[in-house]
Amino acid sequence: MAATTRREFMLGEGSGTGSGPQNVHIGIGPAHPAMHGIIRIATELDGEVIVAADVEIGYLHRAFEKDCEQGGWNNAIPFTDRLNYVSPLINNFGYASAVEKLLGVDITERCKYIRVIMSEISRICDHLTCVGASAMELGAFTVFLYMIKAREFLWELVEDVTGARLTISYGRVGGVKADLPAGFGDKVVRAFKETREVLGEVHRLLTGNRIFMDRMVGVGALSREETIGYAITGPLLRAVGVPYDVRRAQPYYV
Amino acid sequence: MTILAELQRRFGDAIVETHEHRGDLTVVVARDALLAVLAHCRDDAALAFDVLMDLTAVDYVKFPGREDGPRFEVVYHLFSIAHTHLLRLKVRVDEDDAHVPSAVALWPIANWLEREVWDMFGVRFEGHPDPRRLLMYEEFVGHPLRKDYPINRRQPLIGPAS
Repeated sequence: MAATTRREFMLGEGSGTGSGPQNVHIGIGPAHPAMHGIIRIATELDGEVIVAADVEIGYLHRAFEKDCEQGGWNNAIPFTDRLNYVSPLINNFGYASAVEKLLGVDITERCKYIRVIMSEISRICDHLTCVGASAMELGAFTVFLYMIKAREFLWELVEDVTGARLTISYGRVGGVKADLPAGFGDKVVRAFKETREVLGEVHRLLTGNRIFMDRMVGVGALSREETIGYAITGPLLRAVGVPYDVRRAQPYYV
Repeated sequence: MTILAELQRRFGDAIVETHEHRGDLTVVVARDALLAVLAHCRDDAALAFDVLMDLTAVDYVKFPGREDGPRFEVVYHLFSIAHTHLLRLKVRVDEDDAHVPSAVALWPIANWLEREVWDMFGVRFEGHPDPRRLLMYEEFVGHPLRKDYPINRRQPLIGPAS
């Protein structure tokens, strides 16, 4: 490396010893815990293409499993909130239904519908957050603000039902904490209408945006084999041509 | 029960135990036959378990009736996209012989999952291409999800290299 000039190193132009082009190593992160999920990536670049990466993910390991071992079954509910703060309801219900399955407990019809409706609202919150944040990372900050506005419509529903916004602890083994509030149906219809309008705006801002599309289409594309081999699900799995939606293939409750 | 019966017919004594509980199928496999059974589950057209959904371990050291071992079970959760069926596959290993063959050649996702099981439970995966811890740091002593690892243990802070 001593024989490499700064220009050669930065441009990956050659080693100065006649060995031809070389790759550049760049460390990304570690990011601060208050920023997006803390992570460090040691990358090897050939121009703009990442040819190798070593990812370190352990900085904020919180040992939830160990904590959950200490208390009773319902004591684990607050920990499941924190597995994904955007959709804590889904994690509540997933955990509770696993315990119910072990116990052989059947929950009421109304409770099943409440769980499905709240999970679907949470799922949309998750997509809004992920698409919005991805756009922001590429510089489309407006999209992020629009998407977060839409998420706010839905989080107000969540707040109405659970009394909290993020760490809601609404699920219980055997049911949910409380019934739906009065007028919930009308609020859902209104919130969905407002969310759809935002989605229309964002669709025009992103899909019609040459800069965004040029930076995204075909970049870091996964093959069908890779996607299944890495057990990737959801929109990414459908994007490689596997028509699989867990809610159709393995419906839960209703 | 056809999946369990088929595996028993094909692999005979290598299938240690099978059971069905609340609709979940479980098969306990001898360690020597693990990779052969996993490969068959993935490649056989009638099974077609193409997704390794999860790979984890359970420490039975304090489990009533199982204190005498084998201490660990390494657990594989398989899923078939085509048939939407599930299978839980287990391998039992002793504490002083805690290793199983690596499944990275079958599913790339096994790479990080096996690193996590090594990190948390101290079970080694023979033939793993990159057998480092995944979540804890290199200097961490012990395996925190073992049942005999105390929840309140403090480990020394890691200072700058001197």
